[in-house]
Amino acid sequence: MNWLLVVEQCLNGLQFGVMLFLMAAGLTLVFGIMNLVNLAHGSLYMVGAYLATAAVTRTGSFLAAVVFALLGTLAIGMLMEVLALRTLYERDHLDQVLATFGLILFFNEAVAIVWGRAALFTAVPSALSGHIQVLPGIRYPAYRAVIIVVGLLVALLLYVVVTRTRLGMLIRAGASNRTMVGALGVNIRLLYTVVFGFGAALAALGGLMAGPIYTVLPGMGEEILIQVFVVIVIGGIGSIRGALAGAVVVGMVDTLGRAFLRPMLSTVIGPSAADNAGPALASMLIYILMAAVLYFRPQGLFPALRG
Amino acid sequence: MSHSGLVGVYLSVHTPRYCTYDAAFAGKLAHPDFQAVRDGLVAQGRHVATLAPDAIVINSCHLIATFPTVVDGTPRHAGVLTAQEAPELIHGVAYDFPGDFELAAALVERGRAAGLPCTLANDVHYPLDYGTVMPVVCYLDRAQRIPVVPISVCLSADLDESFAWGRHIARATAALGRRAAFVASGSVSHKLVRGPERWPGAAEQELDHRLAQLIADGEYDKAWAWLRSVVRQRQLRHLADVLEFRAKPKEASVRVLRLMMILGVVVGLLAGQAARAAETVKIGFITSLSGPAGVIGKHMKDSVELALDHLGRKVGGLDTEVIYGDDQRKPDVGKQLADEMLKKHKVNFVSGIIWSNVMLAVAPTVTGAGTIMVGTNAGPHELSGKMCNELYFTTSWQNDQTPEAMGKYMQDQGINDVYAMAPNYAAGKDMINGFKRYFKGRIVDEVYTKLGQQDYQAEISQLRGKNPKAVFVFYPGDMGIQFLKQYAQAGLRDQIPLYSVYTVDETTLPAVGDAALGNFEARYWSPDLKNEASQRYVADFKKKFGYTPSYYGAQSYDGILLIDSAVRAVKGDLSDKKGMVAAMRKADFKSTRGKFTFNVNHTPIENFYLLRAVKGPGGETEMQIQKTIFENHKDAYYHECPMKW
Repeated sequence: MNWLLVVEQCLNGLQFGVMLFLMAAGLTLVFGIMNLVNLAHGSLYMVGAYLATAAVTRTGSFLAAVVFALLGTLAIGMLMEVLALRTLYERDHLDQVLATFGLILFFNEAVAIVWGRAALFTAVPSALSGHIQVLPGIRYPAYRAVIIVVGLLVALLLYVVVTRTRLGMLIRAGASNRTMVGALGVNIRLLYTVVFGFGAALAALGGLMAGPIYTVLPGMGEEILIQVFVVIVIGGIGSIRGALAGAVVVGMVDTLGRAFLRPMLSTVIGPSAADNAGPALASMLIYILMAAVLYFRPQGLFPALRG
Repeated sequence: MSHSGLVGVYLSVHTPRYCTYDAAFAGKLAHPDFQAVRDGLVAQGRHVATLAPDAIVINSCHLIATFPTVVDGTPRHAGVLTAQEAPELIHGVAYDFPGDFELAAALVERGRAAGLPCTLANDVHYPLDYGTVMPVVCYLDRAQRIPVVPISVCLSADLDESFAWGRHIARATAALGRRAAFVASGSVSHKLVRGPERWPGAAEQELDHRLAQLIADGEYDKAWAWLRSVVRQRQLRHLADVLEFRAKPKEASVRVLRLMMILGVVVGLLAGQAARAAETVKIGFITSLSGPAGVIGKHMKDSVELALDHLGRKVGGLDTEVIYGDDQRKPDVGKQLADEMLKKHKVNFVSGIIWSNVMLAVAPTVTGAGTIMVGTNAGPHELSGKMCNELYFTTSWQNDQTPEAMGKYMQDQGINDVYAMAPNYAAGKDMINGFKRYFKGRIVDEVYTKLGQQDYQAEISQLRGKNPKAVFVFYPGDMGIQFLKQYAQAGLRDQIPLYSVYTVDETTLPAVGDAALGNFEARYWSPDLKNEASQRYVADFKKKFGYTPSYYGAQSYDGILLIDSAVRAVKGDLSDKKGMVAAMRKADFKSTRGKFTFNVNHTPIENFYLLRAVKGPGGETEMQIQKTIFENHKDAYYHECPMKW
């Protein structure tokens, strides 16, 4: 096995992990602070991708598309919180799952009505279409490198916001003890709306960056959402730090599993058995990991502190 | 037909002269004029055999009761018959057929609940008349295996009561879950007169034809009104005839005759209504309409609609209803949909299906229920081989065929060191197997990825590490879009040529764009295929829906045309499965791929072409046929299919 390839696969894993993190950060905040299970988070990812694609097609500027998609999804997310989700906070998780599943169907159909069922064309912006030399012998797609950088910057920004700002203090306080935050005179409703919009914008960021490498298509958010849930279960529900750690772990395990599990297995159980077992096992790996984490550390790797 | 209730209705005429053993078994007819009648009865027997009902409810105008209607629920009807009316012609006829007590009891219960005087017989000595026994043992069920429930005519009943009975028979059998056939033993042209020279002539027989025609046309109200008037007229005529031998109390017989006609016919009307329900062709079309594969489903659904437009919204000349189902790319959902379509909607055909794993769950469900399945995409090798079925057809291909073509082409080109990739599910394996059947060069590696995977960067890094000379992939739908984009973004498009099947097509091209340029595909159909049917399909499709159709659509369009050819061949008799299967085997319709034939396993024998993604005149990337790789290519599994025809 070639070590350059291992490094390259680690970059791939990191990049996938960063994508997962952008989704997981919003989802885990919403869950931790509002105690809301939002299955429709993947829909916000999709909406972000669609808004960006629409903007890029119209204006030709990727930067304009980023701004438009972030603000647009932020607005849609806040609207969704005010109109649909507010009534769900005091309800059972099962009700929330049902309602937000309904929202998935709503968003998928809405997108199909506006843009059609066929996948939309999006390309990597030409400035980022090349490759960069990461190490001698490793040329990495510039766009994917940018995803990694953006993701890590967002993680840093979130860290600063959560630990160093007043908003972050409220968020942490809300995650620890919601009732007390409300009792101390904080407008908890507004806080919820802001946090939800914020989470929506993060999902949109993931979606708009995913557009050029994946497929912009109704229902595109569902596949990734399942993995995002795995991330927040592994990382610890409600914890941004956990989301980052979980995302990177899941991204790495999934990518390296897909790349190296089969060759490794074939040295142990022979090539033909590995051909059968390898792909199946690789696709199960993150779920096995989740089961193991749940067994040994049911609260996740970095659980949010609870009051 | 699988639904319960009255599934067949027969007007079996009889007189002692042609409803005899000799006539039935030795063809010794009392008069050559009876030949047609005898042939008709034989045909009815054949029809009963294909229908295989659970029970026969028979109403003979010679089984007469006075005050209540008698329903004979004797569990076993065994005895020796000598006809009261003609002991010299019908005597010593042994019969032994089962009864259906449960059904008879249900009929009586229903009749009583409705206030109709009736009684249940359960007595091996209850005498049966020749009008009940002879049609059953000589023609309708010579093996005497189908349970028979005789029901009498009643002298005290009036027209409306007879009408009511018809309705109750239909409902009681349905409620009990029986698939019953109703036999009215008698005829409208029946004349109770002496002497062979006064047999019903052409004019009288015309009455029967007229009635049959009215029922066949679904004109039940007209038939009912007409019947009332005929009964009134003929009653007068009969009375006139009867006057000649007034000494004998013939009014009673006339009444019997009349009631028989009403009862038989009215039940016929009701069963006719069931038949009318079946005169709508119902097609259940299952595909993926939501989620990432929804666009493929849309191509298929739009093509079905276009086919219906081209057929004037009538498949096989019948009113047509298509029920669409969304399988969400999940085998369990697909199977549930199939069950629902079969049981609730009682569809006559199930069609569609994109995914092989869904097809493997759905096809056996459909054919197991005795319904015809017309696949319009998925071609798992099991269904073309060992699991082939008389009722299963596909208008697409067997999975291996297309990659076989690509394997052949790459073999002929002398390409070596190929890296093969496919999703890890039934069709993925078929594709690689098919490819390897004709490609004998070196395969660097064979990689299976998760079905529905979005990111292929890890696999692409591995691929680059192996430095192959060519890449062969099968990535349908959104997987293909992702793979092609990421392959191009990795800078490999210009370095390692990509050969694919079911990956670059009209569903994915709009989203892939230039990332597909130069890509090779193998396929049996492409929008630029030059034949009349294809060009009409493509032109009308673009006009109606505003986008370019794909092979998914062409196959689905063909599927509806295939069903149309079958229904047309049996003249709309949807119960004639054998006839429809025989017709479908001829592939007698204007296929978008041009003329083709079905192999013994109902998989097409067809041409395969090499396609390439090129810049079209409008600047968009489009597929263009380069050359024919295979002519009349057969799949690799038909030898394993035990079917012979």
